[in-house]
Amino acid sequence: MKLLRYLPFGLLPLAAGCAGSEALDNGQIDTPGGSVNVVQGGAQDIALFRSIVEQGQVPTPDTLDPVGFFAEHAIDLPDADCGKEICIHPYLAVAPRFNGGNWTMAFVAMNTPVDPSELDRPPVHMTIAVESSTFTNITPSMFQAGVEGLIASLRPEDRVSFVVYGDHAQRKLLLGEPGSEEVSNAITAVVEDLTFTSTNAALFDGIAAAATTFEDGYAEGFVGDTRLLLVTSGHATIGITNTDHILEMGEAIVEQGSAFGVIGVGTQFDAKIPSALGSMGAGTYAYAADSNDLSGLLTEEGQTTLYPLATEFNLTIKPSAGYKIGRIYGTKRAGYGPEGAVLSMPALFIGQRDGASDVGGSRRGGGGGLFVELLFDESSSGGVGADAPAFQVSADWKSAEDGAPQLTDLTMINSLPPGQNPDEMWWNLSDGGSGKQYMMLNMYLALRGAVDFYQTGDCARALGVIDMMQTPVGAWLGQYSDTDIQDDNLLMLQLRQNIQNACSASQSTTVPIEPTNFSGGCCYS
Amino acid sequence: MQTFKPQMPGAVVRTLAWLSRLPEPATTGRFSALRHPLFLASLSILLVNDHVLKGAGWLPGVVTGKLSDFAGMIVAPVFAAALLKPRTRWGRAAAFAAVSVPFVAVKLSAAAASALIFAVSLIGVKWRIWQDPTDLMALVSLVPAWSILTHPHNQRGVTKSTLRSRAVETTLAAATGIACVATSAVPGPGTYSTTAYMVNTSPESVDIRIRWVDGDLDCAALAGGDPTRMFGLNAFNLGITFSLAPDKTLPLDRVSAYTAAGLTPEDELQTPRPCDVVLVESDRIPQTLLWWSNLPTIGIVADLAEDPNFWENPDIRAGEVIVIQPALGTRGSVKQGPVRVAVPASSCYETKQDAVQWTSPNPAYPTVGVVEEVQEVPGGCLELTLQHEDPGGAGGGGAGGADPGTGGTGGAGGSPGSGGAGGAPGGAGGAAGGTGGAAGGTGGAGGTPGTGGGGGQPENPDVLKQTLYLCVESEEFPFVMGDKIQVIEQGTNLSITDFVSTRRLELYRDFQSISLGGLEAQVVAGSCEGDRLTCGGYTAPARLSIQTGGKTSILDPGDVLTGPGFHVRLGRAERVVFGREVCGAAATTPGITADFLISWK
Repeated sequence: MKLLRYLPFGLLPLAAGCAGSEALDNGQIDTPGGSVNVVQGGAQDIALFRSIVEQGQVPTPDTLDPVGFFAEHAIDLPDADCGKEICIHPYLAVAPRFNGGNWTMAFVAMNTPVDPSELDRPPVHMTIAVESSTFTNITPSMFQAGVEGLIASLRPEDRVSFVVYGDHAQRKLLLGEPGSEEVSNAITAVVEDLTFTSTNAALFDGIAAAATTFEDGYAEGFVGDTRLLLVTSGHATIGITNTDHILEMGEAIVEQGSAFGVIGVGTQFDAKIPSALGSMGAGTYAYAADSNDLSGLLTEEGQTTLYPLATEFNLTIKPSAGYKIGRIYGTKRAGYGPEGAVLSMPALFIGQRDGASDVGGSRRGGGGGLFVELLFDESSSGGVGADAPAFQVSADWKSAEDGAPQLTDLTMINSLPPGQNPDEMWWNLSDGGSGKQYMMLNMYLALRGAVDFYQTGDCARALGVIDMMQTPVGAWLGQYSDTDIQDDNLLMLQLRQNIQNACSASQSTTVPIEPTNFSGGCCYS
Repeated sequence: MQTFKPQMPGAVVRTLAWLSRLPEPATTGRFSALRHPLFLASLSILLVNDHVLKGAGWLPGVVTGKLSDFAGMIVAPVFAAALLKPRTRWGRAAAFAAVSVPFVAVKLSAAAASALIFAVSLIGVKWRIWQDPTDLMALVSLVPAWSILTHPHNQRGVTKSTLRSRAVETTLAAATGIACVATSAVPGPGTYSTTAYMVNTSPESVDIRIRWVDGDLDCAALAGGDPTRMFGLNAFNLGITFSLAPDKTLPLDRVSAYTAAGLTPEDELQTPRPCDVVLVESDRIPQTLLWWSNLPTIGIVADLAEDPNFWENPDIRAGEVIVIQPALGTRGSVKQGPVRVAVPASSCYETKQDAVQWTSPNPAYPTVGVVEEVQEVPGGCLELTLQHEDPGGAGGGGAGGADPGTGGTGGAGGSPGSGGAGGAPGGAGGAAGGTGGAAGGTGGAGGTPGTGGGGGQPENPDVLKQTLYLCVESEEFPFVMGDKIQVIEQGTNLSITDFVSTRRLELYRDFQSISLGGLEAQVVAGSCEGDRLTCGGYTAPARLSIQTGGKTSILDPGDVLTGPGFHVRLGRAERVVFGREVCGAAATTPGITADFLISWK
C-alpha cells in the first residue's frame, strides 16, 4: 500500500447529507426547496435494531445507533439563505423533566444552499469488497442484482474493482469499465465465490486488498476519486482480528481521501467493527436485514454521490452565564472542550441520491444534528434573568471550492431564566415550532433507556420507561401529525411487548416502575 | 419423645446368616463369589449403614460415609465381575476398573458427579454423590475384593453347581443389585441434586429472583479474586423468580433450579459447572452476589418437614445459603458480597495490550519467497510483499473422446481428447472416449485418450506475488529486501526463517507456553486487578515468564527482553476471567493467553 507513504496524514471524515426530496416521501414535514440538510456520515438507519425487534427479541444497546436513529427522521429547517455554504440553525427547548426538574436542551442543525445536482463529479474508482463467509447468508442472486443495479448507476468514465474475502482476500477485478464483459464476468466469479462460502472472515485482509486496488488503479493511470464499499458480517475470525488494527487500516484509507461505505449483512451480524468504520464519517453505514434489502442498498449506493462542501470544520457550543454543558447526543465525533461542546470534522460532504426510496423496513429521513444538554449553573447565574443568552454557537471552516475561511457566530436567547420551567406543562421552544427534533430525542432516550434497563435485568424499569413516554408522545401526536414519531412509538410498543414476553418467560416481575430520573424532558398537557 | 434405635432388618440378618452357614459350594456358578463371607459381610455393612445408621445421628457423617465407601468397594466390583462373567484375569481387572474408575472420577470432579447423576436419572434413579477426595482411601478395599474372585472356589473347572445353589446365588445377585442402587438413592420424593441451595428460615414467604451469570467462568480466578469487582448487573441473565415459603429450599444449580421452576434450561445452562455465580434480587433483601467453587453435589429436600434431621446434617452445610430477612446468611463454603454497579478502573488500566497478529499465507503459494518490499502501514503493522518463484503450470488434462457409439450398429469412438490449456497444474491425459451405445448393439470404442497440454505460462504475473501483513514493530523484523525466506504458519504460530543465515522470526498468538532454542516461555497470571468489559465480561492483564540461561524474567505487556542474539517482546497477555459470546472472539472463552514474538538476528 505505497500510497500511504506519499499522502499527507490528515483526518478526512465526511458528513453525508441526503437530499431533501426523501423527506417529502416520508412525512408531512417538507424540507425547504433549495436547501439540503447537512448531517454527519455514518449510520443511515437502525435497521438491525428494528429487525431484531420485529423478530420478537430485545436488542442489545449497541444496536441502537443514535446517528442512525436521527437519520431516519425528516427535520424541518429554515431555508439556507445565510449567504454562506453552510448555514447553522440553533434551537433551544426548555421543558419539565419527568421528575419535575428542569430540562434545557440546545439543538444545532446545518443545511446548505448548494445544489449537489449542479456540481461536477470526477470519475470514481469504486471497489466492492464482499465477504464470502458463512456469517453473511447472502443470497447470491440478490447480491448480483444489487451489484448490477449499482454498476448501472455508475458513469462510463467510472471504474469498478472487486475483492472477495473469506479465508483470504482475492482480487477478482481491477478497474473494470461499467457495462463491459469483464465486469459481467467478474460479477459471475464473485457470485460463484458467495456460493462456496468459507467458515472464516479475513476482514483485515479484505480491507487491505481493497486499498491495494486503489493504489494499483492510480499506478495504471486512473484519475479521480476512490470509494470503498464493504459488505461485511462484522466478523473478523482469521488473520489480523484485532479491532484496533482493523479500524486503523480503515481510517488510513479514509485519510487518503477515499469514501468508505459499509453494508452490514447476515443474521449473525456483529455491529461493533462496521459501526466504528461507519462512524468515520466517510460514507454511509447501513444494515441489510435480508437479501432484498441488500440488493436495494447496493443499488442505492450506486445512486449516491458525495461532494466535498467544506474542510477543517469546527463548531463550538459555548454555554452562557447560568448554564453549563451536560450530555451530548447525536454525533460520535463531538466532545467536551474548554469552552463547551465541540464538534470537529476535517471535511463536510453533501450527498445526492438519484431517486429516493426507503430501503427494507427502514426509513431515510436525512435528519440529525447536535444535541447539547444545558444544566443550570447556580455559581454563574447571578443576575441572569429571562430573555438572556443561553448559549453561543460558533462555526468556522474552509470552503472546499476555494479554501476561503468562513465564520459564523450566533447567540440563542432563552425567554425563561436559567433552570426555570415553563408555567404550562409543555415545552418552551425558541422557534415556536413543533419541537419534532426534541420529541425525536425523547423517543431515542426512551428506547435506549428500555434496552439499557433490560440489559441489566431490570424488567420493571425497562417497561416503565416506555409507559412513562406514552403520555407525552400521545400529547405531542395529538397536536402534530408526524409519521416518523408515530413509527417510533410503534417500534417502542413492539419493543415493550418483547420485553414483557422475555421477562414473563423468566418469571421476572412485569409490574412497571417509572424511572423518573430519566434523562428526557417533554410535554404533558 | 420417641426414640429411634438402629435395627438391622431381621429378614436380612437371617438370610445372610443362613447363606454363610451353607456348606462351601464346589460351584462355578456365575454368582458364586457373592456367597463369599467377606462379600456377605460387606453387603451387610452396606445395608445397615445406608438404611439405618446414616441420618440417625449415632455416628458422625464422616464415619458412615467412609463405611459406605469401603464396603461398596468390595460389593460393587465383585458384583460387577459376577455380572460380566470374565474368563480371564484381565477381564476381572476390567470389571473392577468399570467400577473404580467412575468412583475416582466422581470423587474428584463435580462435572463427572453431575454427569453420572444425570445419566442414572435417565433410568428413573435419583442419586446423590458426596464428593470428597479422601473417600479414595476406600480403593484399598479392591485388594480383598480381588481375593474373593481369585478364591479357589471361584475358579473355573471345579464342579458343576447344583440347582439349589444356583437359585440361591441368583437371588443373592438380585438382592445385591437392588441394594447397590438403593444405597445411593435419594430418600423419597421432593428432593433435588445441587451443589448450593437456599433455605428460607424467615417466618414469611419471600419472592426471590435468582439470576445466573451469563457466560463462562475461570473458576480458579473466581476463587482467588473479588467477584464483586468482576460482575456488573449486565453479566447476568434474566433468571427466575421463585416464591420461597418458610422452611422451603431452593436449588441454586442452574439445571435443578430451572427444573424446579418447570422450565427447560437453555442449552448453555445444561453443562455442569464446577463453580458458579448468581445474583439474588428481592424486594426484601438487598441485591447480593453469591459464588461458590468445587462443592460436592448433594441431595436436598424441598421441604424441611421431609427431613427432621436437616439442620443436624453436616454434610450439606457447605452449599447452604439462608434467607434471614433482610439479608442472606452463609455458614459453609458459599460466599456472598454486595453488587457494585460500577467499579473504578484497575491500577493496570493503562497497560498497553498490543496484539501480535498476521494475515495467513495463502496455502496455494510456495512457502519460500524473496522479500520484495517491507513497508509500515497504519496500526503498527508491516506490509510484507513476497515474490515467489514461478514453477510454471503443467498442461491441463486432455478431454476424453466424445460421442459414444449408437445402439445397434455400434458407433465409432469419440474423437481423441485435446490437450488442456497450459497454466494450471499439469493434467493427466485425456479420459477414455465415449461409452457404449444403448441396448441393441455394441457400443463404439472409446475415443483415444487426449494428450496432456503443454506447460503453462503464469496467467498473471501478480499470481506469484503475495502480500502479508504482520502486526509487529519494523525494528523487530529481521529481514530486508532481497532476502530469501520461508514462511510457515502452524496453527497460531508463524515462523519466518532465512535461507542463508540464522535470522529468524517467530510470532505467537493466543499461546500459553513454548519451549524453543533453550528458551522457555509461559504465560502466568498477573498481580493486577482486572476490568469489566462493556459487554459484561471481565479480563485481567497477565505476564510472560521467560526462562533462558538459568535465569527467569517476567515481562508485562509491552515489555522487551533482549539476550544474546535474541529479542522477545510481549505484545498482549490477558486472562479472560469471565468470557461471553457477545464480547467477541477475544473474550469468549476463559483462559490465559498471550501474543509475543521472538526474533533472532
